[in-house]
Amino acid sequence: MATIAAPSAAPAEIINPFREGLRLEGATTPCLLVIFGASGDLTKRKLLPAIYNLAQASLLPPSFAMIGFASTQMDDAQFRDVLRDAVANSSEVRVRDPAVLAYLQQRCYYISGDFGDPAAFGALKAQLGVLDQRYGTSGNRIFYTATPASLYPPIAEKLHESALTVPEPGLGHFVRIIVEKPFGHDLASAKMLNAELEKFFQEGQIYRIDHYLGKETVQNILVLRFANGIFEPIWNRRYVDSVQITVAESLGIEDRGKFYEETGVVRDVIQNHALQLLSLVAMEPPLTFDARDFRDEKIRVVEAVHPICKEDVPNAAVRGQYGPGFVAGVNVPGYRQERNVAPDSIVPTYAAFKFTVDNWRWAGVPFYVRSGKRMPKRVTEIAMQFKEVPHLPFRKSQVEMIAGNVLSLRIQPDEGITLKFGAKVPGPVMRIRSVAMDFDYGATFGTEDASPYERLILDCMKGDQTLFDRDDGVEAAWSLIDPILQVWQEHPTVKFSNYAAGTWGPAEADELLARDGKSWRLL
Amino acid sequence: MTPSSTSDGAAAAGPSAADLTPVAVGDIETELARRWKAAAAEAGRPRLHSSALTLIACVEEEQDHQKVIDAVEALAGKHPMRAIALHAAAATPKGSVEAWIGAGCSGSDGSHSICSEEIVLEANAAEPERVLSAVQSLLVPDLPVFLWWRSCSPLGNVVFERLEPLCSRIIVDSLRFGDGAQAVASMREIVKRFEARLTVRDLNWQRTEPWRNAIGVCFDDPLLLQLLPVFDRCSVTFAAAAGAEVPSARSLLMAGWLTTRLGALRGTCTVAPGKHWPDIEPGRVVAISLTSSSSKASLVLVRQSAPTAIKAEAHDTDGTRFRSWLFQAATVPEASLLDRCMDTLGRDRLFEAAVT
Repeated sequence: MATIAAPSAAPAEIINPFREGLRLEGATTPCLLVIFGASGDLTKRKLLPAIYNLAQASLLPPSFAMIGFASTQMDDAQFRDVLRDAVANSSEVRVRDPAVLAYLQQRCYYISGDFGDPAAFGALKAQLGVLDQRYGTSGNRIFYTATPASLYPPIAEKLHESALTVPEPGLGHFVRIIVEKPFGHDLASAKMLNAELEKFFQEGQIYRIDHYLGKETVQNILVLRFANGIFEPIWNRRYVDSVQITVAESLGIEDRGKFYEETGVVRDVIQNHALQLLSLVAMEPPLTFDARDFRDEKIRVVEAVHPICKEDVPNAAVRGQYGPGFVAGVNVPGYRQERNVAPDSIVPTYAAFKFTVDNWRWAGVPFYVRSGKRMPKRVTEIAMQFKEVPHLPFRKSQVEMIAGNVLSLRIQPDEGITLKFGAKVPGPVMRIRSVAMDFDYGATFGTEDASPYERLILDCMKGDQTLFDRDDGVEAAWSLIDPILQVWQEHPTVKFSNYAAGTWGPAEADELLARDGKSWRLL
Repeated sequence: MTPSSTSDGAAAAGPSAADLTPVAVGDIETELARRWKAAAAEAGRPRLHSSALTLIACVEEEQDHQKVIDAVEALAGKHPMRAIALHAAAATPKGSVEAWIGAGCSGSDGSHSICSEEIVLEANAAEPERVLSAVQSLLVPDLPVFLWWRSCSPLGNVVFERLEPLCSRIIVDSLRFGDGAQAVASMREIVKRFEARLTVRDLNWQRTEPWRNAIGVCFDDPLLLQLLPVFDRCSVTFAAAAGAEVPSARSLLMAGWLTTRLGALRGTCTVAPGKHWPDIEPGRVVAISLTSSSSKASLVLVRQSAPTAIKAEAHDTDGTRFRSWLFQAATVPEASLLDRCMDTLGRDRLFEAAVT
């Protein structure tokens, strides 16, 4: 091997001519994936099934291996059993192929160690070197932190101390780190976390996951807006009366009482998922769909959202907490009766906000955002309510339930798009009724969606940060939410619980819209 | 063709040729609409089905209808469509176009059922105007029309000449065009003739994809990429047929791709038969090598059996092996090849370059 040149002659200017035009163009390059928190719930439920699905679809690079790292005592064989069980038990695995599982298990290793232990990271480094030789992974690494956020900084620091945060000279192309939400607890902690990570990694190496952006139907919002000529001209204050974004769960907190007591609905859903939806629906068309242009526009619109100052919080924000009730005919306990929840908890399980966007496109158009646990049904949707016609010429006709047009984008379940408009009821009399024109994503494209984690892990392997959060984006979202949380913390409510499980939230949420002469959509 | 009638006429899931119902061409739209309405009433849901395109599949043999239907069913989830399987043969009686229809939805839970429509037409090949009128009346309005010519080269065929102006894409299979050089020459002519107006796809080109992917991935390796400038020779080996050594279209397409992607290989790429492989159909690519006239550097890819895979090895300028790979390379069914031909938008410049 003496003739292979040293790093100085690295083929920076040579482009692989055989890549262009292939279906796998932009495909993953060889890499080693290290999962911190490999014995945890996220790894078993989401990450291992997603990696298996990628292998099953032949989307993993041929030169690939995976190392699990956690404090739980386990050896390689036991971790391979964890992989097997995760694949067997996951509803997200589409095709179970023993050959694919065996292929992946052969490339699966485990290191048991503490996240602050230099020796464990030394062992990790040694193992990475061995596997590079064995699998030709070229020194490329992806570190996935499937751990509590408090462990991100020590993990990053230990990786730095082990010289694992930069590509090995002359060998690797990249080192990337994926971090999970929640990214911070408030603006200050998010800034601190960004600063801690950026001590050891450059922004271009950091992939902040919000799995909502990996959903096909969320990405379809962009296609609907920017690949169709008919929507964009009316996508503004001249035609849109208001926008409603709903992220509703029929489930309670399940066994996540401890987590939810520290989080609540605003940090769990509004600060990330709901604001992602708002930014996608309100953003300006990006110049290109590359990571920089796309994220620039997404962040710009969040920055244009009018901050809800402390004085305005009572008029623009509503919080709620569910009490006992019925969901789908089943008697369910209230939040304060859930396991690991304080009996006098003031953590909100429901929140509704009225946002406005201070720019030319959206000035004066309210964006109503709501999210809650124990709602009557599970539904995530964005509804664009269009203005009513200026004059209705059918004075002598029977007009039944005629309302402004609504374009609703259903994210889950039953993904699709519905346009509501008025139509003449057949017969000699002019009667008008609202009807729905429905596009059902599943009925048109029956192929099963890849899980968001598949898409996002694959994007990270490709080095595409488009669907990941940037540091300024995370901080912009916290800047909007922080003042509200501060007011709520300073003025703990005594009214909880204020909505029954199985209802659409507290009466105050209805009043929030009623003040504007509007009401929430009946979903 | 003697398909039997369904008992109730309602849309059934996954129709086979035996499930098709005879119907007059002029009544097809009405009958399909009636079926959808009945199916919706039975399911208690609004009538709803989507189409993204019309696929006209011209088959060589009468019994090939079922292969078209199977492929359409396999792709319905991704490409909801109306498929028209057309068999126009000299032996079919003149004076009419016989038609059968099937329509059905897959998806057992009902909420995510995928629906497709299959129409089978039989006509005499000497009556192309009659064929055209039947097909024209059945196109889904304002949607792309793909013509899948599942036969020998379409050039000069009168039915093809009538149908191609309706289409935005022509899909052929050069495997069915005869020997390799002749097949590639036909493809070249087809591409050249239609390049200004519509896109051309070749199922046989898709069969070379595992090899192209493998080579593409191998050169992602920085050490191998560094050796790229020294490679100036290549060879493509195909499975030989007993007593015949004519290069296959597939191996010629592969060589065409290599030489157009790396200019240094132009004029130095050989296509030659290898041994006779009992488990491999003649003409398939079994090995590819890129070598250097100035050193021992090489990239050698060889097909392996059980399980089917491509093994690749890279050697340094002194002949030392420094990297190896193993790629899955299972045989791709016809429906998947068709899917790939339908999947990508616009012209396939790499294919066109490899052919010409």
